[in-house]
Amino acid sequence: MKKYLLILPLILLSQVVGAETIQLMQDTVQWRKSSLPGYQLTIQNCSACHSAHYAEYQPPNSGKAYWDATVKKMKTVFKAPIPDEDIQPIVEYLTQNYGSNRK
Amino acid sequence: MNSESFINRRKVIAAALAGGAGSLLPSWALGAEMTNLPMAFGERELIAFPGKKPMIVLTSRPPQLETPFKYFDNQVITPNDEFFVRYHMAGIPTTINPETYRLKIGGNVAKPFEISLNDLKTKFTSQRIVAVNQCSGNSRGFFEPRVNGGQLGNGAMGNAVWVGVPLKEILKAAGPGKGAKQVSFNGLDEPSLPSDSDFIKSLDIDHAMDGDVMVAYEMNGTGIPFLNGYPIKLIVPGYYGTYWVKHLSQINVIDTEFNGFWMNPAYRIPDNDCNCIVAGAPPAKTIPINQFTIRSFITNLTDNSTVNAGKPNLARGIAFDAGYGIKKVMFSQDNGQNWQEARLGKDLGRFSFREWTIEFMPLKKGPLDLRVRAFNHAGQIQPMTASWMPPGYMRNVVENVKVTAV
Repeated sequence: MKKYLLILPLILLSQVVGAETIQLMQDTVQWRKSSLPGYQLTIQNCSACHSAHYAEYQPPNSGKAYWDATVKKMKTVFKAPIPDEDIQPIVEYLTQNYGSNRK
Repeated sequence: MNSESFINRRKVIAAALAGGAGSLLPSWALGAEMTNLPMAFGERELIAFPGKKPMIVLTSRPPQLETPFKYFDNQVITPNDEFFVRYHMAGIPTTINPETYRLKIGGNVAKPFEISLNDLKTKFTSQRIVAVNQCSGNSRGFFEPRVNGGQLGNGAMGNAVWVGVPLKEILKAAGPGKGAKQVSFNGLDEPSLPSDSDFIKSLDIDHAMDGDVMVAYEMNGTGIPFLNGYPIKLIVPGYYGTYWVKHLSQINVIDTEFNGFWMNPAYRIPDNDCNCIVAGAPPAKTIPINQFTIRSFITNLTDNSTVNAGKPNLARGIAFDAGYGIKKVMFSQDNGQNWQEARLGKDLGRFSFREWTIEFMPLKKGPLDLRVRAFNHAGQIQPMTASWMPPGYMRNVVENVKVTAV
């Protein structure tokens, strides 16, 4: 059965006793479903910091070299705690579901 | 290339989703209004974030929002609720108390200090500058061959009236020490995990002291919107938005060239006259991105527009540069073979959008290739062919809008 995310009550901008507060929204783009093991690893390792938009809109000429460099940048520059053994499955998942292989 | 087609492709409102299990649909099945940027994989959601009208969602977390191009037509000042948003860090502030907010000035200064918002507004003389802010990667999605990064159309720019304190006055109050070489700027946004990748930018001390760079607390007559850097933001007129640090909290005078990730290797451009390379070749040497290139746009006509053959039609739009001042804007209805000079609108200052208008008469029915080309007082002219660089910054080729005369 298909289900849909509800994007109704996401937007709130309020003044709370002098302080300016915003409520950010939940992700509106999900990681592309795949039977590859890298799918769950991507959700586990990448979703803590950013939405799937970062992969979703990359252009059709994005190949494995781009995804490999990007995942490694997330680990080395941004210190994402990605276990070394997860890197290649994640790269494989991204390569097979985004860029030139995006359906 | 300015045409996003606004289509209410799916205004489906959907049943609630309890957990993550059903969230396996492509984004455009989620109920948001959609638009298309004219590029491969150009489908985008239009969603109203806090303090914003529906904007093109580049990423929802952290928020990166592009201004739909139609918002630029017939208004030279971009309203706060239409102004683009660009965050870098996963950890962005969601609550800020203006009563306790402090801006700290330190590093190589005689008198380090911290200042409240109220003192910033009352103890310094304010200044007002109308200035364009533009993302370095504005229009990246139009690079050919395509390059990776945020796939933006032309809407990651805006023009606002900024009021604040000249950075020069703040630095003078602290007294930069001998040997001061640069000034670094940090805001409240931060990495979600401990790392040295915090979003910190730097300017050379002479630039920081030029009187134009300022700490703004007002945007278009009101407070700066939260997502644009409430309560104070660094304004660097004529320079790309990467330097316009949001939620500005720490200014440090330093004796070295700041070399953090967001100055090197990020936000670098080829160090040559065109700031470009042959597609695919690695640049030998890079420098930090700096001043805007000169640009112009048609705002009232899009690729889907029709105009009247044999009758006068109005075209209008905007032009801007790094602050040398727009000298003239030329308009062509025949793919650049013949040009007419447009009338320039009111001059709101050298860092502002400059409006232009022109009447043109298509002689016969059929397709027209409209072009607009800006020239500035420094001799800079928009190129007729696009250049290329790996990070996809600084696009400024003469754009075309294909309309039909009927």
